[in-house]
Amino acid sequence: MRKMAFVATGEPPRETRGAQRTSFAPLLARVLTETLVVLALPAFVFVVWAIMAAIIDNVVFPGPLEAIRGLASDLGREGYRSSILTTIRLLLLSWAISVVAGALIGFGLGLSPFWSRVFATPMFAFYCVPLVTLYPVFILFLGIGEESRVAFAIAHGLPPMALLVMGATSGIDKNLLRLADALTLPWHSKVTKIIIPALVPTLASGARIALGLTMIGLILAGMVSATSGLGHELVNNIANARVARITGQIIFIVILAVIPGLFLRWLEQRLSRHR
Amino acid sequence: MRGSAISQDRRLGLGPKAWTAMGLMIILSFLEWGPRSGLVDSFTLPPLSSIIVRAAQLLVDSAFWHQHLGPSLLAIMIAFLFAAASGIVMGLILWRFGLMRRIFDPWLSIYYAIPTFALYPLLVIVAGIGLLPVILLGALLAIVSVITATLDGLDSIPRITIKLARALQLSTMDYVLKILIPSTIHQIVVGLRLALSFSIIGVMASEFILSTYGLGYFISYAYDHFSLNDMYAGIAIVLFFALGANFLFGLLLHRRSMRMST
Repeated sequence: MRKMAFVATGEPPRETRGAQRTSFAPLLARVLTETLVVLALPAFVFVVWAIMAAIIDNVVFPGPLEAIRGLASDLGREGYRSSILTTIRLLLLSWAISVVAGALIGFGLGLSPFWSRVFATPMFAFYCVPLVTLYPVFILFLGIGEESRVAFAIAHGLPPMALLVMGATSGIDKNLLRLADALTLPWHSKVTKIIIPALVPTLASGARIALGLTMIGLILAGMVSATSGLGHELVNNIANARVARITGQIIFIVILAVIPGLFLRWLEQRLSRHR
Repeated sequence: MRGSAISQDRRLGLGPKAWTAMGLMIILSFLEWGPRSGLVDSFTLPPLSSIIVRAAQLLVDSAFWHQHLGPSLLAIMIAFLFAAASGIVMGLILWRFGLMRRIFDPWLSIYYAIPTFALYPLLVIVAGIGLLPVILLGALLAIVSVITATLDGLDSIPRITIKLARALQLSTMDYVLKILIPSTIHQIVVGLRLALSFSIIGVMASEFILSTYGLGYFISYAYDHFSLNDMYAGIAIVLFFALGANFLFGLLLHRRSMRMST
């Protein structure tokens, strides 16, 4: 019925089908299928990469195995391990601030349609600006230390978080709030029983997006000015033209970004279904 | 109705747009008078007027256009066009083939968590130090917003439209160009707006980090050599182009939705 030239569709999004099947399929089989589906694309990329590396000169373009060997030799260095810890520490700090402050700002603004409208345009404009060109300003005002990197990462993560929560707050069903008023619920019950449950999927989605963006901000800042961290290590290897190590580091950075990203995506889907 | 009610809503006699404009005026006034009054060190932040004068000088300087602004604008334009065309095609393919979509879906949703900029050194190795790696990075950053916008648009096409197209026995090309694309154009334009922003971000970031020309490099070079007036002028030009492009796209979207509502 669906198989006509270029008419696939109407196929429901994957999540919906998964949700319907949950109760029927054995858990293990489902987990395995999901894992295979997620790993299919990176596996394909690795195969294409290995073929390309075999065709092109290996010294200039290392294959996956050389890259992994390069990463292994980097991981053997004390300095690199300390850079990983620095990046993770700064990432968690800037992500936590982005999520909490962004949620509070977005929630505060979203309660008033008027102030939402006042702040929506400048916040969206800020999101569209190439922040990297503003990084020197962060350094000039906050110095070359960790403060400027954390502030720069927060500048990447906070605005989308605030925008998302602002939109979700102003979209809360007003009838539910009126019902709560009619039932004379105290404000804390209103917050815990209506507002927070309504915002949970958006908070999860915002947290995922903010994590990715703070990571990008942190790596960029590290590439420009830091004396430790993964961005700094990457630039260091570029300066020394260690191609296999550069590629290995890129794999590591991608893994570091992807694992929590996939976990937060899974959490977001679960929360949306429960809702 | 709701929107017009908010527009008529006022605080201290001002509507939402007036408050936004007033906030902007306060920030601009601070940027001018903060350094002049000594509230901010004028070396760290020169007065806004001197930044604007320097930016205007740069904008009429042919060498600046030739070496910095021209290559950046060219790279942004090519990256955007490439991302737009290939993003729409990829969106159509993923929509058509369910298995491919299933495989790509998780990666599309977390794509922006991957620091694509980290790929720049690798692109330089593969494509050399020229415009190509900069364009590729801009396009890589922009393409996913077009793919997801196209998929969103295609998912929202009413079943009856697809059934009608089937009944008419259109060729694949006619089906794509006369049914699918027109039905999803609104979402595609939204995706293109984001793609333009991401192209600018990608190009600026790659120029800033490693390139030897372009507007991003100009800012980085000025910062490294303590030419802070030049640095701020470069930033002002970037903001002007980024916000201007975003504003024009917003205007296009607004006009389109006005036309659709009448």
